[in-house]
Amino acid sequence: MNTVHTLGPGLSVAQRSMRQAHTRAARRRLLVYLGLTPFVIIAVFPVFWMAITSFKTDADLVNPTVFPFWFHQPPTLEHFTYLFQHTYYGDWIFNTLTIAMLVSIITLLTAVPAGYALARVALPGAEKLGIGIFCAYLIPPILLFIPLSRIVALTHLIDTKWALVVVYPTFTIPFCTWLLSGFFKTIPAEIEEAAQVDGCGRFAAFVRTVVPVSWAGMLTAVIFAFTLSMQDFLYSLAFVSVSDQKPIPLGVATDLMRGDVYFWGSLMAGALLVGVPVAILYSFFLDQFISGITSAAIK
Amino acid sequence: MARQAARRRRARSDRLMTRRQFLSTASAGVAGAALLPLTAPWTAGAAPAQIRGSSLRILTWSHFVPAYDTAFDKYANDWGVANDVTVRVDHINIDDLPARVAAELSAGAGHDIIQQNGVIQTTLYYPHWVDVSDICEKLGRDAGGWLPMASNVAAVKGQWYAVPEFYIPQPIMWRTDLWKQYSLPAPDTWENLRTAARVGKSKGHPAGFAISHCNDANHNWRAVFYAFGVEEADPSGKEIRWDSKALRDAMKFSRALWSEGMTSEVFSWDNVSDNRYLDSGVAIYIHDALSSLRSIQDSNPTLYNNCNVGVSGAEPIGSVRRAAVVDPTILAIWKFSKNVPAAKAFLEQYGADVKFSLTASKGYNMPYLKGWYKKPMPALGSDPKVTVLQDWDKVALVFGYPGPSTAPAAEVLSTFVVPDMVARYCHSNDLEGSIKWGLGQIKGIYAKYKS
Amino acid sequence: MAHAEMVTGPLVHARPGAFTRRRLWFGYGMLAPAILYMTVLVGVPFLWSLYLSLSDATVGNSVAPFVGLQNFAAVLSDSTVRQALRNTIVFTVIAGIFKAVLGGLLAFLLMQDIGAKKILRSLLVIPWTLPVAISALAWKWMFDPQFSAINYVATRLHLMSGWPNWLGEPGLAMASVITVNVWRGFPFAAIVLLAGMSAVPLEILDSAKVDGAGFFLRFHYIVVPMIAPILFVGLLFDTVFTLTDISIVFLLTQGGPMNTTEILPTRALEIGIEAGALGRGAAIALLLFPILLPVVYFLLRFLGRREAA
Repeated sequence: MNTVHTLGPGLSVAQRSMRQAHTRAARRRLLVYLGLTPFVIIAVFPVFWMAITSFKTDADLVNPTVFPFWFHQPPTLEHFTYLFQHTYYGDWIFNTLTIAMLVSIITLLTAVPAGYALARVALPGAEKLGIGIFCAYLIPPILLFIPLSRIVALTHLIDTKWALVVVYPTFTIPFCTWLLSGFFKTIPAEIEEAAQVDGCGRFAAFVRTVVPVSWAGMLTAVIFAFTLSMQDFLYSLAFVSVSDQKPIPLGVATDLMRGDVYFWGSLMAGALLVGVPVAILYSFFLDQFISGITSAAIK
Repeated sequence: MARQAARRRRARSDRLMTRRQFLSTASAGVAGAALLPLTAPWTAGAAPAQIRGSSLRILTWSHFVPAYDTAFDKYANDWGVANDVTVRVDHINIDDLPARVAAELSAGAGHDIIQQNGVIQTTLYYPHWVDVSDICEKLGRDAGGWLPMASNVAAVKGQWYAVPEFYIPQPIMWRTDLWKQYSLPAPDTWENLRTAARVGKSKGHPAGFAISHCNDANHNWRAVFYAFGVEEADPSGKEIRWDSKALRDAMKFSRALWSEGMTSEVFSWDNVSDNRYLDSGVAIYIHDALSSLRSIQDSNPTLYNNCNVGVSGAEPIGSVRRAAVVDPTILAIWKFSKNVPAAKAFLEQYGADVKFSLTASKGYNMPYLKGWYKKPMPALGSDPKVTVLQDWDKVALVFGYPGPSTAPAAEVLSTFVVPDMVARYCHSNDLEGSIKWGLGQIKGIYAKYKS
Repeated sequence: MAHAEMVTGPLVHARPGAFTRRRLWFGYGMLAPAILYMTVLVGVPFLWSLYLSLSDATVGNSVAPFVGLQNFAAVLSDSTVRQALRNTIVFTVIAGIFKAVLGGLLAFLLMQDIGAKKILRSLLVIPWTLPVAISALAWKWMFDPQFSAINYVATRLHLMSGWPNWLGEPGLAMASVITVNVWRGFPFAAIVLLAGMSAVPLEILDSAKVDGAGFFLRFHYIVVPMIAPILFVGLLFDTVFTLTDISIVFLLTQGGPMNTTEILPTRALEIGIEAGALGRGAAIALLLFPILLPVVYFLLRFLGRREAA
């Protein structure tokens, strides 16, 4: 090997092999980066395309003769100002956050005790109940939304974002219950036993000892609840028609596709403004998230 | 889009003042009413007392001419202010209306007035809609009667369950400059249009009709089919009449029109695509609603000046007749509405105010009322580009023709059987096979409604 | 129930007798909110839809007489529904394979010791975090027959000749719909696999290496059994999403061209809502269950094994 020849005669064998290992590691790293490149491009390209589109003037956008990935007229903020001045985008952001937050809370309030009960309390029929809860997740919204609308109507929440706060837990609870029950199994039993020996009731023991050490699991559940709430389209379409009550995905898809005109610039601007912050948020919690699913699935 | 919330707030603060203003406008209104026999009494201040202080919610589409949404919201709000009713209008995408309407009925809550647009389901929903025969009969009486298709979409067994709002014409929009440049024959027959598309395509300017799962595809190809004599059902709407020589002629013509004069991109089009095809200067002609023209009026005046709307005789003639297939819209009142009187009062005024509808939509919203076809029509008569639309009452038809727009006819429409049949033939060149598939679908659909 | 007692939490044997009743109260009490929520908002509507699928219901008349299995007979005799059923399976399976392969590869790459991992990871996870309705629209714009950015790049790079019409050609349309689903799903697959791989303790791998176990052996006997459960969860989660999601097809193709991208949820929407035949629409949506059945079966087996372990 060439590298060997260039090495000075003063180097020991150990040094030499270290150097070799080093180059090998560097080469390997390079290969990994090379391998990752297409993935990054595939993942980011549509987002890059969104970004370009959202800063382009309309005339620039539909000019088929020029290189589409750069600006041929100065970039513009008009699509963003349109979003905030002529649509309810500000409200949509607020609604989406409110909905996601409240859905997460409802999910935690129901799924944490349920997950704990399934994992830690020996209950006759618990397994079947657990499976029942989880199977509810398999029922497609297209089958449920008509009957569900009558139930939602009973609450007089139709056409408000609160309707979605009520409905979305139907798909977050099953998954998070399962997730959390796996998580609770990883917590050493001695913790609660000690608390109970100290005279705490079961529930108090649970709240004082188990909850505080379950943040990772709960965080994972919240991330899931958040993501799932943002993926819905059909329920929000069926239950919310009032513009200032819509969550972002519905608002963007219904108020920015006006009949036979798509407001591509504003559409993409609207998508970008929600996508990027969420992605950043994710990168903070990704490690927690991974360990959350790991423990849930393995145990 | 104008901010409705702001307007709502404004409406609330205006109300106190308006009561006082109201007295003065009322007396002026009485004088005006004598001059305008078509306006409803509400403008003269005769709103029934029981609707005062109530609220009214209207669900309608996002109009393809966005300015009309603003105008309509203002119209509804002004009506509300004049009658002391809080009015709220919600707009959603046309494709999303059916799901939303179905959910509202199931919930028994939502809006008081809802619109149906394109996909008309009167025969399914009418038991839950308020009988508005009194309004419709009055509107008809005052304005020379309804076009026959009005009752096809809004009435069941002689009773009206919805107020026909307007219909959307889909004229040929063609490039006069290219026509001149290639010395093409006048576009008033489908054969000439086929020639034009063929020549245009060879010069880089194909025609464009969607052959896909979208609304445009449904009525464009129905227009061709009807012009070649295709009939969907008998006048009662019960017996299928699709299977005919006319269908074969129409299919052959359609495939020729596509293969000679269009590119494959039409298979992926949605309602927007043909507009953009015209906007980008490619299309030699398209067959679509006026909105495509309106969107270039300001942005591309040169192109706008080179585009003509419609042909002499309103629509091109096929082997049998001139036919246009339009998108109907209707407004209905839910029986669960808590404010039926206000809803009826609003519909009575709005239904009669064709002038507003025509003007604010820049000639997009066509009336079903015969009396309004006296030339010059508002908005249409004064704009030389669109004067030909004034003859549209002679050619406009809706799906289900010559029968009414029944539930099975609506299912044939909403499952895109016609565009799929054409697409199959374009791809396979198997005429009988494609027709067999289409008829199988149609027969299946009608059979389900027979039992 | 003896079985359940055996797999219990650690406290049972210590506190028998009267305490058991309290324990049951406590346990069911903890379960009650979730069960109640799901019963009211999923159980009841689900039973209702079952009823709808057996009745002559339309959007205008949801309390209609029973017609037995007529709706199922009607929808199964509809060639478009059968096509939608096939498409649904093709869509789910092909998309699933791609997601697994791409996700696996990506997870493997991300396992390696490289710098800037955090940044790379947060870039890679973007597709999964965007609301699917919005990314479907972005893709629609990229598949545009006139302004397709994909075509622009690919033709310039000479990867492609011509100007394919992604959403307009039967095969390509299905490929496009699958692409969007895969694009959205592969980061999640990678995360799940990453979680699985990081769950295999390094010592085990190392000791296996020392023992001279080859790569495939290690993969087969150590990696697979340890990451299988987590893989399964990811697969389940993603499959359910793929099967029930309507927005990609609804926004990209509406089931066209010629029903080649029609899937059961979109067909159910077309028939049940747009054509107004609620009963038949419900029957079509219920056809999803035979496809979900294997998923449920494995789920039950998996959960059972977990309990027994």
